[in-house]
Amino acid sequence: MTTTRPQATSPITAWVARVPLDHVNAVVILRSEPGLIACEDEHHCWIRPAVTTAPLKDELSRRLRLLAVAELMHVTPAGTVIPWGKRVPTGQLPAGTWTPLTEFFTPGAPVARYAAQQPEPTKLTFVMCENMVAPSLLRLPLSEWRAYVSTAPNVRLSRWEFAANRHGEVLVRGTPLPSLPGQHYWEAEGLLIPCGWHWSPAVSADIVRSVLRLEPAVFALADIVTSTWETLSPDAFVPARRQNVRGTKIELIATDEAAS
Amino acid sequence: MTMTPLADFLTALWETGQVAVPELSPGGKSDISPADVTEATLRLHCYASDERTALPGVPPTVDAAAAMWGLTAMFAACSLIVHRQQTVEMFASQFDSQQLDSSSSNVVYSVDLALRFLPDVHRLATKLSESDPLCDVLEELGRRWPLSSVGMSFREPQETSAVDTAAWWSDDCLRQVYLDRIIEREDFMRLHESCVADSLRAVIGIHDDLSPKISSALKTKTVALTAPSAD
Repeated sequence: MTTTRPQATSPITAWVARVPLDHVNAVVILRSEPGLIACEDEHHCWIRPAVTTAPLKDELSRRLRLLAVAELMHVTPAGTVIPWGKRVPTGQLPAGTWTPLTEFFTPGAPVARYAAQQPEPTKLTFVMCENMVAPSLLRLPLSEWRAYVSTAPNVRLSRWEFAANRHGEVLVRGTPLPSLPGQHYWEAEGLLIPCGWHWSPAVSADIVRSVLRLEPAVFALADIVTSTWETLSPDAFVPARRQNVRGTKIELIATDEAAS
Repeated sequence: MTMTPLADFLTALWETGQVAVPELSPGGKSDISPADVTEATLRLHCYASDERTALPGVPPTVDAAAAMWGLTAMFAACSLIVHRQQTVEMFASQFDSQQLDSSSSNVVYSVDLALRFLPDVHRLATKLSESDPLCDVLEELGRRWPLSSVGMSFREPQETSAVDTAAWWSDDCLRQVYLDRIIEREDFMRLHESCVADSLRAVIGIHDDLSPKISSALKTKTVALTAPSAD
């Protein structure tokens, strides 16, 4: 009985590596390695150099060993294979067609992951919230504001500024707010929201400002009924001095708005 | 020297705070012409009119005589500070306000149109010489006209009875102006009057940060009043 044991005097330099087909994708990293060919049988993918006797270089050996699933073997001239470091053959090279590794794996376009169409934009709405936020603005009729300011102490007036609209309402800003009935608002980055409400989705105030395309320092007053915002320029607010409040006339505001 | 030194003094006092005063003759009457008085009275009315919208409530009306007395008193006081060879006795009649009704809101407000600068003048006078008889005169004026003297540092502790605000305390405008000045100038001596302390507590409420020092002083006073006696 003849054996194909490798001889110590004529070391076998030919080699082959095989990888179970289940893990064949791991071999793709060798695709850039020049001179390798591959063949597939029922259970394995076989890889060896196109030049049969080409020795296994250290760098390629390192890369093959990185493939934990790869099994390295010697190849005898007769085409039998011997596990690396062993002496007993365990099989034959596959009889199939060997093809260059670059052709064995054909790159394909990845499966599309994103929808071709943009999703519908989410509309900003207002929802009731349970978070406790201290109010910093008060909306009330101009007449009540004027009556209060007439006798209010300076030390409190100095804390406030106010803006008036043509509908005879004022928005007082500052803390502590006057103890007067009216609609209280809380403020976040210039966004003025009725107390007890928050915008939805609950993105940051910066994002809401960018969605509303607000210039820096411009205020936006929320209307929860219509889910709209009314912008107020920074100079709409004036210090709450008695002369300013007494000089605020609804007719003048309407005239100013018409002129602008 | 201008033709209207008194009127120009008033304008400088209100608009820049940097006044120029001439050396006055004894009594000072001869330095002020009738035209000057007329012009100064007109300007007093103008300044009073300008500040009406900034005053709380309904401001009192201007009593021309009282306003003119306040202005000439300040005019003489400033002249005495600058021209040291002059004596207070030379202007005794300028500082005499006995003929004015200090319980009238109109008079108190009118006098204050010029006398509101009294604490600054007093500060200058005491800086030059604390023993200057002018300081006594100014402090006497401060006691008689408490609305105008808020923030004034009396050399002797001011007795509660020395400041009488009861006569015009019911005037909403003057009362609020008085309280505003006490807070602004942090005049703790005024807190001895219980009506003042109570009103200031109402102004500050629970917000101590509105005036931390006044608030603290009010609390100290409350503790002092409610502490059990040693007997």
